[in-house]
Amino acid sequence: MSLSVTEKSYLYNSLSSSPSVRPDGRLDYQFRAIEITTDFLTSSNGSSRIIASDGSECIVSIKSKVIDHTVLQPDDSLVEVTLDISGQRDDSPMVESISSLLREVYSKTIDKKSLTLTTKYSFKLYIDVLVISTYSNPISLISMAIFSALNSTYLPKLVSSFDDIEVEELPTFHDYDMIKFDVNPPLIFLVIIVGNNVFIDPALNESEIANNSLIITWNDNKISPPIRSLALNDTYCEGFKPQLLQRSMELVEKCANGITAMLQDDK
Amino acid sequence: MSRLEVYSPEGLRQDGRRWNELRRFDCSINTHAHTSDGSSYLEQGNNKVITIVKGPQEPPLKSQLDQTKATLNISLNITPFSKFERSKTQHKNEKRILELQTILIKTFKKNILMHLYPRTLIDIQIHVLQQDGSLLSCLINGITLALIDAGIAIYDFISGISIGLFNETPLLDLNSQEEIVMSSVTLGVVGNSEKLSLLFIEDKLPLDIMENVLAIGIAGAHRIKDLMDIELKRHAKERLLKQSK
Amino acid sequence: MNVQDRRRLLGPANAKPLTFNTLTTSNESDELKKTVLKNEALEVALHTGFVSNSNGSSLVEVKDVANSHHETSLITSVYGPRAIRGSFTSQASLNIQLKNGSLEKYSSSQLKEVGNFLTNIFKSVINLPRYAKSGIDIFIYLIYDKEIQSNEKSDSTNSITSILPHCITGITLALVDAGIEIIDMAAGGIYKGNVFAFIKSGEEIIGFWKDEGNREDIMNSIDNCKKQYDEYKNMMLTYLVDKENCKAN
Repeated sequence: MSLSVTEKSYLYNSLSSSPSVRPDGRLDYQFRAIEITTDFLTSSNGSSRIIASDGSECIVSIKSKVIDHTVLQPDDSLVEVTLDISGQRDDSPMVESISSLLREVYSKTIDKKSLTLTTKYSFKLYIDVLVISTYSNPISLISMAIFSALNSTYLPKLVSSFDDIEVEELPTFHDYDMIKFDVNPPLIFLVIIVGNNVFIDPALNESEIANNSLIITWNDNKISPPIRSLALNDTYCEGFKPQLLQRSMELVEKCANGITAMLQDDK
Repeated sequence: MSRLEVYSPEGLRQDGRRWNELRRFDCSINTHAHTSDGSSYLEQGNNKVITIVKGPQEPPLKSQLDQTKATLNISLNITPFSKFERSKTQHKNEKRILELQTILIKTFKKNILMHLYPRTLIDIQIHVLQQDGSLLSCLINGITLALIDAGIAIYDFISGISIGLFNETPLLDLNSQEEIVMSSVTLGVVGNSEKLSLLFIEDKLPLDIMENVLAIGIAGAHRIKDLMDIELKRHAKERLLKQSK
Repeated sequence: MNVQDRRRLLGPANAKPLTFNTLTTSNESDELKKTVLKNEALEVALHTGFVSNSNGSSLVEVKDVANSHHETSLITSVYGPRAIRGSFTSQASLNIQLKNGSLEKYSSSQLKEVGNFLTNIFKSVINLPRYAKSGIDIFIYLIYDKEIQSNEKSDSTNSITSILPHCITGITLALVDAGIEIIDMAAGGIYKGNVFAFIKSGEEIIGFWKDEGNREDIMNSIDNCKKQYDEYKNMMLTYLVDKENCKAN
């Protein structure tokens, strides 16, 4: 969708005025409706499918593999994230930046202890993200999909002993029983700045007139790094006042707990 | 009965089916109404396939423009998590994928009334979320459903089916374990007729049993066509109800 | 241009291109040595206009003992505004790429992400609508980038974050050298893993990047980063004024 110059100017004025009016009538802290399905891929340990009201859709699969963590390099992670956005090349700036950010977020926040099996072996998690269609920046949608996928992940139950330094043995697992993977995954929010106003979860038409935007990570019930500024369009890019950074973070703090609770009890 | 017996003397396969039984077949159309002109979601056994049709639309590249008929483009995305064991590569531009794409394009070029849509592009995207044997036949069924949802004129249904041959016994609709141990044929059958629009054999198959194999396959394909038809009619009825409200 | 543009009417075949008298330029920029500016925390060497095939270029060498604890050297070259293939665009398209030097320190996706981030920053700095139908390409070559051995524990780890302010300085200088219109001189600062890029004497933030630390640091580090922004800006201005003076004499 491309808007004309006058349409953009109209949108800009309505969003930057006080009180502001969003094109779909939402308030500044309100999200668009989403639909989530979890646990539909039987060959994955966890999976989720999320559809936003504008038709953006994202599918996430979590698979695990037992690896020997004693041979890992210090900066090797136990979590690997791959991203495939349908219709975009793998080396396009958007795909590269988002996957680099996701790697940064999830390799740091998922606790290594929760994946450790024995003194020698660990699970390695593969988070594969497939974005089937997207209209605006999908980062927030992806993080919600990964959140619900990780929360529906079940890993095989270990039946062999924990300490295998003395006895050389491979970890063996229970035939049927699975253990729920216990994590509190981070969420990523996108906040746009228009004039002196800030809005969460921008739709495409709002992104096209944003002066600037911020990617804010929410982990462990507080705002935490990485935080980035991001330009969503070419024409309306501008600097913003430091107070707006503060207000964006307050906006995220206002709605993050609600979103987390909503995603956790979707079953 | 040993655990790895493909076909037991009692006539049962590993997953409990008899030789002429299909796997669970669940399909739905118009699943991605926002993003596409036609879409389908197909579950055939443990295969899960999303098909998205965009078009007929103006082609983004001049090279894709044909003055006399539509251009058909099919891109197949096999996700790294689709098999039980996660694959390391993204599968894009693999020879196997390119070959499957060409086979699908060749099959559907003849079935779509391409001359009705000159100077346009029909773009089909397929995402394989999970696979468990007979992939090609699943893709064919998914595309047929999505094309019908898009309202693109086709001559008839094309239903895909795979048949394997185990010790002179033909087995219908193979799963991935059966596919490894026996040679198989994939058929694309046109509607309720006995016409084939695709016959794909990669292995050795004795010629004298071929007729028998084809007969079983065509019967299976007709059943799949009926199952698709039931779902399409159910969907149409539902839509009509919504409209008349 | 040897590629004929088929979208335009080119006039009669015997038409001659319009030429202006060539300005007699002096080669003083070659003689100009790089200027070294110092204060107690920062040692910066700046140099511009030495990559002859580009429209503008800059060399930034920084030894930062106070904030990022890094010794960094990078070359920035600006190509453009130049014609782009394809459809009409009402404003210039900007593209910034980073390249590893001899030390293969950063992964390619990290460099792409940083390139994308810098592009986003400079979208609000360069007067892009001034250059319709054109592209501006900026390349940053990281010659070296190493951590200074310091006794006290440095608050920033060995990440790409610490070179961001130097990249911003480099690009700004190279843009000035190329004569591309910018809204203001952009510069940035780093404090406790927070990188801020400013324009308009620190009143407006144009970029923010944070990879570590916690939320409380953010607002507190703005002032520190602003101080560094002022330092960088003054250095750039001193350098540019000196250079002009050299030319004039």
